[in-house]
Amino acid sequence: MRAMKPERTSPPAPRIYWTLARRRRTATAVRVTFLAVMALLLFGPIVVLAVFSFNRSIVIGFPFRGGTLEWYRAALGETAAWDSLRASLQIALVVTPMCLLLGLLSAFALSRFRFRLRGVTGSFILLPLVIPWLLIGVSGLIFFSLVDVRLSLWTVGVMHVVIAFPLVTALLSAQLVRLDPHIHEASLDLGAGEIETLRHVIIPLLLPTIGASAVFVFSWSFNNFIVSFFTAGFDNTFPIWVFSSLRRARDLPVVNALATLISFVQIVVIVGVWQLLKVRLERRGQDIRDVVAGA
Amino acid sequence: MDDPRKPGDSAATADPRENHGAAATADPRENAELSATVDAGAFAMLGPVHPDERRPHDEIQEAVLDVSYAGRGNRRRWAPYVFISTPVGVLLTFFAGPLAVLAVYSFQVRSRGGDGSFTLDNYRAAVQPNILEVAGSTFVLATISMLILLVLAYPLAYFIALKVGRWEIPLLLALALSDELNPLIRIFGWRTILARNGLVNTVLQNLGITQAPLDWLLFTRFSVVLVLTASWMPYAVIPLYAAMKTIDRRVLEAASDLGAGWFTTFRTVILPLTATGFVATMVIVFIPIVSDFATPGLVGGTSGRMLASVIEDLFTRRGEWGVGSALTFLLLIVSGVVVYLSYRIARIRNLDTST
Repeated sequence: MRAMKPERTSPPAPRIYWTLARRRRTATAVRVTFLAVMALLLFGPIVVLAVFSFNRSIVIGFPFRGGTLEWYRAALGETAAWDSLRASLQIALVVTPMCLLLGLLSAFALSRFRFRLRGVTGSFILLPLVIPWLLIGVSGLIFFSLVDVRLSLWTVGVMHVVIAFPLVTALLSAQLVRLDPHIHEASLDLGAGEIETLRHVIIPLLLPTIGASAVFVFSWSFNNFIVSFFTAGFDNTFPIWVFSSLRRARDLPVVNALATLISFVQIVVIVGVWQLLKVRLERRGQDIRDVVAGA
Repeated sequence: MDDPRKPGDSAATADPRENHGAAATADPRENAELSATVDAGAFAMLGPVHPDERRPHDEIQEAVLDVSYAGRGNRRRWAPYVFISTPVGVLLTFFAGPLAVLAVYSFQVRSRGGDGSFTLDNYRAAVQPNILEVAGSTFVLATISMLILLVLAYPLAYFIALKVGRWEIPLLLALALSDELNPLIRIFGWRTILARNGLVNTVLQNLGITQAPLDWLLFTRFSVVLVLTASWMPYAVIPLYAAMKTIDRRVLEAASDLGAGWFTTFRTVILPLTATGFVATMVIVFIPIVSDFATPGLVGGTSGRMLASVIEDLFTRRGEWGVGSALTFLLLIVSGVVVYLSYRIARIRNLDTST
């Protein structure tokens, strides 16, 4: 802190200048500290896991007994984990396009047309976003047992579609409302039908937002635990596998190595995709902040 | 019928993950009205949030819609139903259907030789003293977490939205990233940090601050609150950020020109203008916190047990689906009431500050 002692002879202006500068420095320091604490809160746990995944000790914690890749090697042989991981990926890969399709259809209808039931259907479609996931998972469990459908990865996928596609509806409508309606009308005037307009005009314009929605939906599905837990039956998704491993406190260093690996891949992929989307959005004059702040 | 500001709708848009819900239901004509109303904060995602910033698009779109409805009304009348029918069908089957089944189940006893006729036994079983005790502690824990969350998220959203300049987008994307990482892995990380031989205890002992490991760090209410707070942070920051973004910069400049310090600006300008977003955020984080059972299940131990864990237990281990359904339904009703009340309060508050 270079707090200048104001000299008696100096005119008032510099003194104000120094006070302001000092105040600004303090403000910056406070801000940086605060942001650092929040970053620790958000990412600290992942970093700690990553560090300990290289620790030779069987206990995840201190003392640090030197680096090893032993746990990663063990993780390679953990077939249950890889099966669950494959299941999660398969579900997310099926769920994402379904959600994009349903979300696109509903967003297009809700934001480009006026029809009698629009208010009701709009609220109804967004309802799954305010209903606790616990409730959706539990009701799915009862429902599928009542209609005699065996719980499996398919039922998980169906419930993931239910919880995730309304998010796409919301994200896409927010962008659709921003689009110039002239474009739509021009396309109709030039002889295109609604479906052709959607396919050749609206979708290309919305592509970056659709991409962003895909990131969110994929992550929601891949990371979802609560809904999957109730509707997976004897099948395992990756989050369920992590949960049961943690509960039984078994092979924790192996879980740790896998968790680190997954987080690393997730971070690389997500950062890459966001970066790409940011560029694309900017090129179309859309703002990535509008897309993210909607999720 | 088409008015997006009906009560049901309000509840739908008051959620977190989708506070731009309004955007989906508002057509351009209502858009401008909406943005001018008290809901501005909660509906931040609408875009032209400031009434002065109504873009030319809105009027054009209105006119276009009017013309197209007058002129080719017949041709387009069926179109929206074609598009909307599949999504609505999916939700009716796999969302509304299951919820209805859950409701029916909560009024039937099927296990223990029940015949499935109408009964309130499940609800009676769901309000036993020991469950009520857990419900009370759930409410306390969720409220504390929510308050801490807001106290931390509010300044963070403020910094990101108004103060960090070119760091705004990177920080926002970092938030989105942390939201997209696996929550269970994060919980695992917290266990590692808070364990008896974890990071915190080791550092404290090596520095000589404590002699023995602190045992209140993990499997206590403290750890539940800490992990809940950290886990739901993005859900709190992002809607608050959206609310702050709706503040017209000129208003802030005016405040500063008129000689307001940061605290005065904050108290008299930013806080009132984001009040609705603030309440919406409370709701947004409260609902998932109350229904989270992974966190209390993995870091809560016995003292940090929460209602969602009880429900999980009823369904998975005890096979008491009827009681579980009843309890789940009570949880839904309580959250619904919380959402509704917060919404009412937000409206009234906002009207006060705008006059």
